[in-house]
This record gives sequence, structure tokens and C-alpha cells, in this order.
Amino acid sequence: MWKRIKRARGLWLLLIPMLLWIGLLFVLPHVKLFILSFQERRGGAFTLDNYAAFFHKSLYTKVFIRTALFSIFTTLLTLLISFPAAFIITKVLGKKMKALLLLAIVLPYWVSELIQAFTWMVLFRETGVISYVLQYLGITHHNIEFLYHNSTIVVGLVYTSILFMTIPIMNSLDTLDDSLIEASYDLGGDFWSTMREIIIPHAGPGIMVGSIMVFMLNLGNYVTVTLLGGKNSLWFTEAIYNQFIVRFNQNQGSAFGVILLTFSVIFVWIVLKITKQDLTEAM
Amino acid sequence: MKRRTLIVIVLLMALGLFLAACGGGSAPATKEAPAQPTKAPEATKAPEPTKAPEAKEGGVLRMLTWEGYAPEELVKKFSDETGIKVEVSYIGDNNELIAKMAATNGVGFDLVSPTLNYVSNSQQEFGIYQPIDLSKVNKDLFIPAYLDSILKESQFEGKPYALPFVWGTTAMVVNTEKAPDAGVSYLDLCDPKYEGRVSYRAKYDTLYMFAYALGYDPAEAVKDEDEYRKVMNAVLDKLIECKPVVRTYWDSRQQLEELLTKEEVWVASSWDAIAWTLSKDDPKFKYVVPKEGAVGWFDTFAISAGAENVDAAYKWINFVMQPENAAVIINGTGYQTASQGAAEKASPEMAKLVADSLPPEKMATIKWYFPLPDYAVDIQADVEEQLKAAQ
Amino acid sequence: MSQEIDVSLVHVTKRFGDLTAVDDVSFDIPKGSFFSVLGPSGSGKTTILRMIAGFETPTSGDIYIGGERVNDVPPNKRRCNMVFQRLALFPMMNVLENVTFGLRRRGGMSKAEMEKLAEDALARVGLQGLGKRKINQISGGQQQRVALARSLVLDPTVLLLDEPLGSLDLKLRQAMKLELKHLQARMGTTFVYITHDQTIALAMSDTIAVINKGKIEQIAPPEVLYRRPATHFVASFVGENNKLLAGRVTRQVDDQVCEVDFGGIPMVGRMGDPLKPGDTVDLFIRPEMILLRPGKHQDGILGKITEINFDGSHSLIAVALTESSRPLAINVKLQHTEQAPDVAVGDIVTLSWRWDAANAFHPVDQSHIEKEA
Repeated sequence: MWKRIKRARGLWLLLIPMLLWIGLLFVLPHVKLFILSFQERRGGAFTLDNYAAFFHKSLYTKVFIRTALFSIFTTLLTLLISFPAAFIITKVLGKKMKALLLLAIVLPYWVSELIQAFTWMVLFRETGVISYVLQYLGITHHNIEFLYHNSTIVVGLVYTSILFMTIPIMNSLDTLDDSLIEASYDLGGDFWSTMREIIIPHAGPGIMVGSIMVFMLNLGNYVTVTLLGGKNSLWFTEAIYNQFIVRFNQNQGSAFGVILLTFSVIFVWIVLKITKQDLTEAM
Repeated sequence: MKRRTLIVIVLLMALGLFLAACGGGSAPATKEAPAQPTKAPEATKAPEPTKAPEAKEGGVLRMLTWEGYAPEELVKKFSDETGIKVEVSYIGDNNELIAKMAATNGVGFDLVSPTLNYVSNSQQEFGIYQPIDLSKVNKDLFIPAYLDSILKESQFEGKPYALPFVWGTTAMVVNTEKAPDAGVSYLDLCDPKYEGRVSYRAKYDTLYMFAYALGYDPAEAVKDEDEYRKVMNAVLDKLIECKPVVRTYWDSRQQLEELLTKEEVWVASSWDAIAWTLSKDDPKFKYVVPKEGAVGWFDTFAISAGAENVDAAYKWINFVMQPENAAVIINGTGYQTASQGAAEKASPEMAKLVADSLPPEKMATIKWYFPLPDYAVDIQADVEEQLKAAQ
Repeated sequence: MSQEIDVSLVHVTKRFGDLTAVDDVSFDIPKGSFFSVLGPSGSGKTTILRMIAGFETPTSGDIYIGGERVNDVPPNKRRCNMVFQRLALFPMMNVLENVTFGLRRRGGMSKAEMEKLAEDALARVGLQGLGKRKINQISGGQQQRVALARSLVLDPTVLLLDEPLGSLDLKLRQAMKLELKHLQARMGTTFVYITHDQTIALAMSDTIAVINKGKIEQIAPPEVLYRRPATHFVASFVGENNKLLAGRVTRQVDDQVCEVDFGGIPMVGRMGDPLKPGDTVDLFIRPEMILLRPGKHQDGILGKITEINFDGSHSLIAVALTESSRPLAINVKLQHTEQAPDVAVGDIVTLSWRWDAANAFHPVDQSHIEKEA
């Protein structure tokens, strides 16, 4: 009996670092953020003005919607690119190629996002590598600027999130018994019906985890967007940054933070409902 | 199973790196032209308790200043000469300086280096400085025009509160081969002739440039909220109209340098130090002050109201302003000082560039950063955001 | 009567790199028959099945289904369906959706029609009313039936079964074995059944092909296979046997029967291979075909009982041959009938058998058979 209790207590001790981590670095700041968002900038009395400001200033709603739509779009695009890659790596390739490709996907994440973004700039700028190669090949005769477009933001975001989409999908495809695919073919299924009815439903949880992660990362991105986006790149995170750093308006910034958090939670919840996925199952 | 675990670990590692990158990359550490908003600073924390140092002959001088403004080389030389021990604390922006000073009414520091536009208003609000005693200052060390100007600008209730120290300007940099005619007015940054070859910051300095170029006086308008909003909205309209001409808004020194040297941009707003560095390597780049005048900032010397060693503070001022000493600061920071003859001592080549770009008549037109009330900070931030969001 | 042939393999060979998995295999499967491919694991039997299903392409040779050459027909276009070893039911669908999967792929039917057909198929395998269950909510035996129904609902020309009973426990396996046979008889569909379990193959099949190392050893009905194994491998792999090694042929009685000497004791057996006097042979004797009589008799082989293992309907009796010049033992399966003699350990007994209870073959390298069998 004593042994059991001791063992149980020991296990609890192991949890303490994580609980501290979550409690101090996640829960507490968010509680503080939540309280701040309902306080006046001066005096700290209760107010809803910070939220009202968001809905009254069309600038913020516009930027917010833009950020949300971009995040959703890039998440879908990332899924579209990652799924075939994950499928090929797990189900088609031999061991050696599998390891090689996996490495190719992981390797870019050994450098920071900042450096990744700078690398993209070297590639995409008017006097950059791609423009040069196109001219060398004779496809164009003058420099072309690829930077500072919305599409550059999308490319950058997709790139920075591919890993977080591919790995969970690979993980779930790994558990798919190949004989299920064969059985589908055997029963008259073709490529698309097998994809639709067998493979995608099986990979559903992985797709969900990947999409949630990528969506959150996109929504909260700052570096890639500002560096690659140029003059039209205002992202909601930058608006939050401005509130805290430029305007010294913690309360407004907190309200924006709470709005962003609430939106992402609700959005993820709705998507889970629509796709009939269970978060515990997905995770 | 083993493979799965491995994958999860790899994933977490990558996520960690990713987040670390986000956190680390958000604020490039450049000393910006410090026209940061003036905001009633909250008393954050008291300065470190002053240990009673063994007062030798000269005692201790405690300074609160910017990185590079009290280099170790000078501190050592000063201590050797005077026997005064120097303790230096650094600040990241003016609000931090004001917050630290206001927390103790200046006790704990003798000499500080606020930017000019923060001196008189924070004196009004907090009374953290004491008036300058000109009898203790060796005026010959200063460039007379700067000394007069700063003494005048830092006045509160008829008394001066600051001496000129380090300064810098923002105007335009021009690639004279590609755009020989540019640089007459800030409105050249909006000239369709240079479409796609223009860059500037989506920040306050650009707002001021365009305000002056459009014929407004923001330093005057800022005193009234409605008036300032009107001016800034006019500037915003102009900037949105100009957006097709802009290639991108630059954010960091490195970014601007690349845009210019790769000739992706021909005409840009620029800090003087960036432009001068470029001209030194390639004379086709020129720092040009257009007819509206450069926008300028001036970091000063101010004596704390709670100073315990006022004499040492003046001794340091008279020491640092000697040309050979000020030259050390110029070489270290790349900024200019108010010390007479220091620029030539630091680098004759650079001194010539400075003199060419900013002859006395141009110096006279410098538009110094002005104090910002709270509402002005918000109005400017609104304009900056709307500018970036405009499609 | 010339029978219609459903599946036909003509000189089919399949190589994976250096490995020849299937080596020049030919056979015909008559329509409506229960055909088994029996062999140890790694013998190539699964490869044969996967080639018929279309998941593998022969390196050489041709495969015909219903008279049509199907080498280049993809699996989803072949009129044959497979029941997988691990069943491969779709866990993301319920029972009914699993069964209608193939119908939905085929199309041209209303949803109600499909479900009607599926319900019929489920009823045929005894699962009526379970359509709404999830796959993980039904038992292993029920899953087995769903897998069958899922294939049978498509009314395939040929049903391929890849040891689907292997994962069931013994009792369920016995029950399913019978059911499968009845189902096949009722529906008249051609079944091709892959197994390494000879008791299943013997019990269910009309015809069995024994395969070893990619080659066909013998194709025959179960009884023929059992009584007249064509090769040394078949004799040792199929059924229980006393295996006496390295005897010598002393006399060829006629074109079927020979006499063999083991340690000075003469024995009689069928010639599995062509043999002549002086040849070295291995002799396989079925334990249940040996007559055991207590006491000494002139017309038999003398021995002494060393062990008796009681097993309900019969006992397995180990007999040491007392007159042999080298140690020899023979196991006898004694049925517990009314006439069965009472024996005890240590009793002297006489053993005898008819010539066709034993089969004599040239010895082969034994090592691989022992390992695999």
C-alpha cells in the first residue's frame, strides 16, 4: 500500500515542471491578458470600449478578416501540398528515399524563421536568384520583382508550415494497413474513390492536427509576413504589436489578443464539428 | 512505435525552434531616431540602491545614457584624469529614462542623456532635472549654432535644461546615376517618374517629412488634437495616393542598404549615417537634404534634480566635448556630436560628407522632433496602420 | 465430362530480384470448385493469389480468368474478389457500408437496391440486422463473415481467400471451416483458398495444389493427396506419418509395390518414385493404417510398447522394433473401437500394414522440409 502511494506521489512530482510551465507561462499571462482587456487604459476601471474599438474601427476588422482569410487559405494550400507528399513518403517510396525526403522536409527548420525569410528575399527579390535564372534561360529580358506581393506571403507561409502539416499526416498514414488500399481496389475502387473513402478518412485525425497547428501558426505569424509582404502586409499580429509597443496601449492590445484567441478557438471548434472529428481523438 | 516517437520529437523540436525564432526576430535592435511617444510613464521600479562608494577625491559620477555614449575608453581616461569613479547605466528608450528618473525624482543619477523633445515636457510633468549652470560649461567646446539652439529648445520657465551632445538627421538618399534630379523635395518620393524605385519607412519620420512638404507645420499642429488629426489625415491621403510609387516600406538599416546597393531602389528616405556610409563606398549615393529641411533628433546632457555630484557631471561634459574625446564617440556610434572639430578628428573624409550634406544654411532648416502628447501617438499609429492596410 | 475452367495459370513465373517466388506454375481451376493452394510459409502461395487478384504481375506466363487473359487487367477490373488474411475491413465505415462498398464503386444501382443486396449477403453469412454496427463493435468471427459478404455481394467469378481463418481460435476456426464449405457449395462460386494448414485444406477442398519453393509438387483431390502422395515433400507435409529414413529396396514386387529393408526387418510399401533393388529409400507409414495385435505373430513385425498417449477417441502408441539391428520406433494410432485390443506399456505386439499404407521415396535433402513443416 505504502509503496503504491509513494509511487503515485513520485509520478506527480514528474508532472510539476510541466504544470509550472503551463501555469506560469500560459495560464497566468492569459488571465492577465483577459483582465487587462476589460480595463480602461487609465485608471483601470471596467470597460468594454477596447472591444467596441475593434468593431467600430473598420481598419481593424478589415485587417482581422484579411488575416483570417489568408490563414485559412494558406492552411488549405499547405494541406493540398503536404498530403500527396506525406502519402508518397509513407506509402510509395522505399526506405532510403523515405528517410531522404523526410530529412529534406525537416532540414529547413533547423534554421530560424527569420533566416528562412531572409533566404526567401535573396531568392525572390528583383535582383535575386529566380529573376536571374529566368533571364539566363531567356524567359524574360528584364528583372522581375517577386517580393512584396500577397502571393509571396502565401508562399512564405506555406513553406514555413509544411512540416507541421506533413508530419501528423505521415503519422496517421503510417498506421493505415496497406491491405485496406488493396481491398478497395479489389472491390472495384479506383484511385480517387480509394482516396476519398479510405485514405483521407483514415488520415482525418492527422489532417486535423496538422491543419489546426498550421492555422494557428499562420494566424500568429509576424516575421514572415512583415518581411515578405512589403507595403501591403498589415497582419493582425502587427496591429497587436503596435498596440503594445508603439501606442503603449496594453489594454487595447490585450483585447485584440483575446479576440484573436477566441476566434481561433471557435473556428477550430466549428471545423471539428463539421468534419465530425474529436479533438482528443485527433490529438 | 519507435518511429512515431521519433517523429513526434522532431516535430516538437521544430516547433520550439520556430517559436523561438518568432520571439527573437520581432524587434530588430537598432537605435532608431528616438522620437518615441511621450507618455505619462508609470513608475516602474526604483533604481538600484546606491551603495555609498568610498568617496575618493572626486567621488562617483552616475550616468544614465545610451549604449556607446560613454565608451569604456573614455570612462577610464576620465577617471585617470580626475579621480572620479564612473558608473554607467543604459536605457533603451526615452520613456524608460523618464520612468527611472520619475520613480525617485532623479535621485540615484547625476547625468542623463534624454532626447531634446523629451526634456522640457518631462521637466514640466515630473521636475526631474535642474537648470544648466552655464558658468560651469566650457562653451568653446560646442558648435555655437547647436549650443544656442538646444539651450533655447530645452527651456522651461525661462531656464535651459539641456546641453547638445549627439545628433542625427533623416532626409533622403539618392542614387545620383539613376535619379540625378531627385532630392529637391520630399515629394520626389511620390514622383511617378520613380515608380517602383522608391522606399521609405511607414513610420512617424515619413509622416513629418510629408507634412512639411505639404506645407504644414506638425510641430505647431501637434498642440491641438483636432488640428493634428487633420494634418496627419492629409498626409495619409497623400501617402496612400503615393503607394503605387513605393516599392516597399523599409524597416531596418540592412534592408535599406540592400535595396540601394542592388539598385532596386533609387530614391529613399534615410538616416544620415546610413547614407554617409554608402557614399564612402560609392560616391553615386548621396545624402540629400531637400528644401523642406532634414528631420532631426538631438540627444542632450541634462543634470538630474537629485544629483549628488553635480561638479563631476559638468567635468564629464567638458571632458567628453573635447574634440579628441567626442571623436571616439563618433567612431563608435556613427552619429555626429556638437563638439567643435570632433568630426575632423574622427574622420576627415566623413567630416567632408557631413559638411557637404549639411552646410550651415541646411543646418538652420533642420526640423527637430517635437514633443508628442498622448493623442498624437495614437493619431500617428492610426495613420501608420491605415497606410499599411490600404490596398 | 469436360469441365468449364474458371482460372487458369499457364507457365507462370514471378521473380522479385534474384528470388524466384513462383517457378513455372500451371494449373486449371474448374468452375464452381473449391481449390486450395497448400504450402509452407514462403513457398510462393500468397504470390500466386496476388497474381490472380492482380496485385502482382507475372514475370512470364499467362493468367486467365473466365477464359480471358488478365495479365494487364488492373485488380479493380477483374471479376474476382479477395478475402484478406487480416480481413482489411474498412474501420471508418459500418458493416453495411463495408458490404455496399463494391456495389457503390460499380454504380448503376439505387441506394435501396444496394442495401437490399447487402442485407441479403449479410443474411447469407448469418449476420442479418447487424448492418449499422461499427467494425470494432463485432466479434472476430463476425468480422470474418462481413469480409466474406463484402466480396460475395459482388457475385465474383472467383473468390480468393488468403488464409482468412488463420487468425481465429481453434473452435471458431472449425465452425467457420464447415460454414465456408457449405456456403461455397450453396453458391457455386469458385473458391481459391490459400493456406499452410493441411487439415483445413483437406477438409474443404475439391482439389489441392501443394506448392513448395515456388514449384507445384502435386495437384490432386484431398484423398489422393493423402493416400498417394506424389513426392517426398507431399508425403512428409500432408498428414501425420511415421518417417523411416534410409532403408534399402530389396525387391520390386510389381509396378507399384516394393519390399524395403530397415535394420534387417522387411517392410512393404508403395513406390512413390520409380525404384529398383538396392536403392536407398525413406518410408512414410500412416499411423492409423497400422494393425496392432498383442503377442507374437509370424506375419508381422515384432515390437514392444514404450509409451501410450491417450487422446479420447484414440491412443497414440509408440512401439520400439525389438528385432531391428538399429533403433527404430513406429507410432500407431489405435482407434478405441469395441475390437480394440487392451495393451499396456511393455507389452510385446505385432505390427502389420497393407502395402498402400506406406509410401517409399528417394531421400532428399531433409533440412529444409523439417524446418518448414
